[in-house]
Amino acid sequence: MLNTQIANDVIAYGISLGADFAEIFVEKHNSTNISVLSSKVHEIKSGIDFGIGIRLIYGTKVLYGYTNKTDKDELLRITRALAAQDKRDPIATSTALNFMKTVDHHRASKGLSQDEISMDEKIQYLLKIDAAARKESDKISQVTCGVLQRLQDIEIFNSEGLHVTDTRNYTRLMANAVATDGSEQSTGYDAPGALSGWELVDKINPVEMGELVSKQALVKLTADDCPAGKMPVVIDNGFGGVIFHEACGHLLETTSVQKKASVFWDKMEEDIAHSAVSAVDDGTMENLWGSINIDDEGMETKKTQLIKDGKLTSFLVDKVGSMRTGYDRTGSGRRQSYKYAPASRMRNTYIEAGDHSLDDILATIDNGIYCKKMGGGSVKPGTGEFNFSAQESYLIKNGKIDRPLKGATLIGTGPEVLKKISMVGNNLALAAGMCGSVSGSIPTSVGQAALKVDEILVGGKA
Amino acid sequence: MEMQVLEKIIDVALKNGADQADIVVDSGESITVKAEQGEVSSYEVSGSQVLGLRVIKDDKIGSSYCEATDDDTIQTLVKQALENAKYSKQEELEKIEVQRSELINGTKNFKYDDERADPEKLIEMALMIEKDLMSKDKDLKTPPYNGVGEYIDQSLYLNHLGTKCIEKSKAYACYTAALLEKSGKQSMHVHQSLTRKFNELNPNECIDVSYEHALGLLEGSAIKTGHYDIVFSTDKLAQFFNVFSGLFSAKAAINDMNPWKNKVDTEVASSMLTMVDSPLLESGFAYSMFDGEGNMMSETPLIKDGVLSGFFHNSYTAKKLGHANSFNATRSPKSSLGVGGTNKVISSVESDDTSFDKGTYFEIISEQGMYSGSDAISGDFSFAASGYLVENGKRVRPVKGVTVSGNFYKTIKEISNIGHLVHSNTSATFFSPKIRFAGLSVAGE
Repeated sequence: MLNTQIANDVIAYGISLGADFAEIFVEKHNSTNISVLSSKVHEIKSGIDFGIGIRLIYGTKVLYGYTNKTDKDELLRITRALAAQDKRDPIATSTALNFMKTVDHHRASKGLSQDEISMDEKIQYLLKIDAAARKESDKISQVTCGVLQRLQDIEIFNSEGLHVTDTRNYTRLMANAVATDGSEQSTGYDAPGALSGWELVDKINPVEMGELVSKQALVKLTADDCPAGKMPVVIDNGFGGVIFHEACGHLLETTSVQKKASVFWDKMEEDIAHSAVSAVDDGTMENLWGSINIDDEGMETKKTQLIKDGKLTSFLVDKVGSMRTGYDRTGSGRRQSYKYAPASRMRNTYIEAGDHSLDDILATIDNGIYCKKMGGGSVKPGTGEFNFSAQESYLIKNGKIDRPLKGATLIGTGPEVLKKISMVGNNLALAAGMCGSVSGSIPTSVGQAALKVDEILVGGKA
Repeated sequence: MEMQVLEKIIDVALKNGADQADIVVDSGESITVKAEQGEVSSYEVSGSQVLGLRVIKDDKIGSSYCEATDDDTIQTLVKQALENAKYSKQEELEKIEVQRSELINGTKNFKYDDERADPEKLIEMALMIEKDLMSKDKDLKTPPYNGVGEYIDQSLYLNHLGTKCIEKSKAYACYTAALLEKSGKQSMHVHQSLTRKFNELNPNECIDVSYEHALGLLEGSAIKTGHYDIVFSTDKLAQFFNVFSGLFSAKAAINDMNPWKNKVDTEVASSMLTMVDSPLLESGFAYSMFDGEGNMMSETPLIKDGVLSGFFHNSYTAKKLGHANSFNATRSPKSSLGVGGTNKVISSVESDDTSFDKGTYFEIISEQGMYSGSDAISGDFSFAASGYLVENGKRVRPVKGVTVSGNFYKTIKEISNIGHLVHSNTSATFFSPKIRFAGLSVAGE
């Protein structure tokens, strides 16, 4: 996408201004978004993002700039502006660029570039979701669904001689149902995705997806207010992993570890979780939403064991994180686009499966909450304090699932909760999400098997 | 981007078969500096633009966007927009119809000038904020957020009828996060200062306010479970109303996603509540002279004495619902025609704040999960909150580890008091006196 000679000249210029490291990240990004509302095509949007990011590193200081233009003068101008405050006599030397071909572990047969699927076929698929959702009940008053497909081409050059390219195809479906009964309204939502083309739909039955979101909305329509207070909670698989992702995963990224802003920064090899907990962040899982071939710094990605039997075994480490902490890089340097400098980020993060069935776990609780599907939430990065809402939850009474609840939120801190996970189930599943942080919003998967937290603050109606 | 280039794109679209076409362009430049442990940790320089094209052909709408403007990309942009239109539903009411011969220039002296901050000064300020904050307390940790930025933005609109609008703005921001750790307890608070001119930034306020609340909330604990009157800080009040801002959307009403669809001219809130959208408020950072269809904007009444006055409309939604257009069309290069507001202003009620503070209430300074814990359709909300228990106007104890829950539709009907002094949120887009919500459910001890 960028002339190699221009890349070479810009990198050499950055090094001549005294930078220890210079990098160019080129990105072209096509996207198409189709949405259906009220059983009709609502809108179809397409676009092309294109830009170039330049990163200079002086010591551990990161200078970053970007532009939409590809001409050499503009790239040299950005480089000069970045180095204006720090320029010095050259210290490092740049190595001749050596193109390396990336091995594609996540092939897409029906991506946007080779798309032989007609727009009409995609629309018909979405209309099947819509019809199934509406058929579930006459209380379903509205359904929206859609598909977002993206094709991201990247090219990376750096002063260590790296020249590498990669192509990423993403497809994500979305369905949302609204149930109405008199003045009461509630919603259900699902959004599976993969690092693949349109072939994702071969694994997803549109009728089942439509029924699923409607059932979620209908259950909440009849739900009771959630009780409040400290109690045991069972969080089921798939999107339940969002709590680990937000409240613990971010604290294991060198982005926070290097600032000592994470409570785990000095806990390597120490017990930070109950011995039932082992956790992984794996960028290599075939065609999974959070997978990559190479990270956005050009390193081949890896599987990283974060916690083993409760003991902290690794952080997630990008180039700058490695320079600042001394830990080896893990292929976790990621960014939303050329507009962001890369940072250590998660890929597919999950708590590994244990031995217990869901029924076994429920049977240990006399009075508690079962969160079948978690919704969104937030966490304070400095303290690990989190708050997550349950999209679908039930009361547990005498070891069995009782009535549905609404308005359940789980509140705690990541480090505390890790120590209170006493049982992990055998039904591991992962779910797609978007993770927002310092280097933008990126595709990640969260996951876990069903697990029991012995005590957590549940926010509901007092 | 040159107007002539954009006019050429419109011509290409019309020549390729579009009946109508318009373009929005958002471009920006910024310099941001982050400081950490006495050094600049990040320095970013950016320049970008994105162009969005909407075409209408046979009453069908297609749109596409691009960031590059070479000839090939422009051809692809037009081709994609027309291709997308083929598969869209027919929508006879959506038209590109604003026709004006003179250029509307919304670039006003109070919001934009050509002066730029010296990058050295930005760096100096970022380092100073961290240093001065850290000097306040030996138990403060390196602030996870600490920086200064300069932001220049330009919006541009033009259509096939010759309407052209342009608007530039400039902003400076500085922010810091006080992260305090004492005796195994942690507390963090972030504060930002936002201005139009660099020399008006107030880094000391960022330092003082972030430290004040980090320290104030450090020893916070849960209050007893029960019902408490709630008063949000202005930032959190703005966020609370923003979560449910879809209730003012005519587009959501048409899409059956707005529970207030049939509530215009009926009581939806306490009779004390009056709220307007004020795009031409000069102190508001959401100042805007024209909307996403090129119409001139003006004040939109939202709630008057508790009664829903109307919705945010664009030309399409106004025709569809048979209402007057409020000229609140929104459109960015990457999004289709929508509706939305600018600066929200809530009127004061009390002649002073003395009676407002009588008795006990929970003042919310910080929250977690307000967006994710709220259902914009059902109105149910539940979020973690921290702040202070206030008795007769005095903060008597810090509060942490509680959740506040309720239902928005009920909550805004049960306002027990609205204060006198109008405060602005730190983003300067929401202006309101203090509002006291009666008896919300708080789960704590």
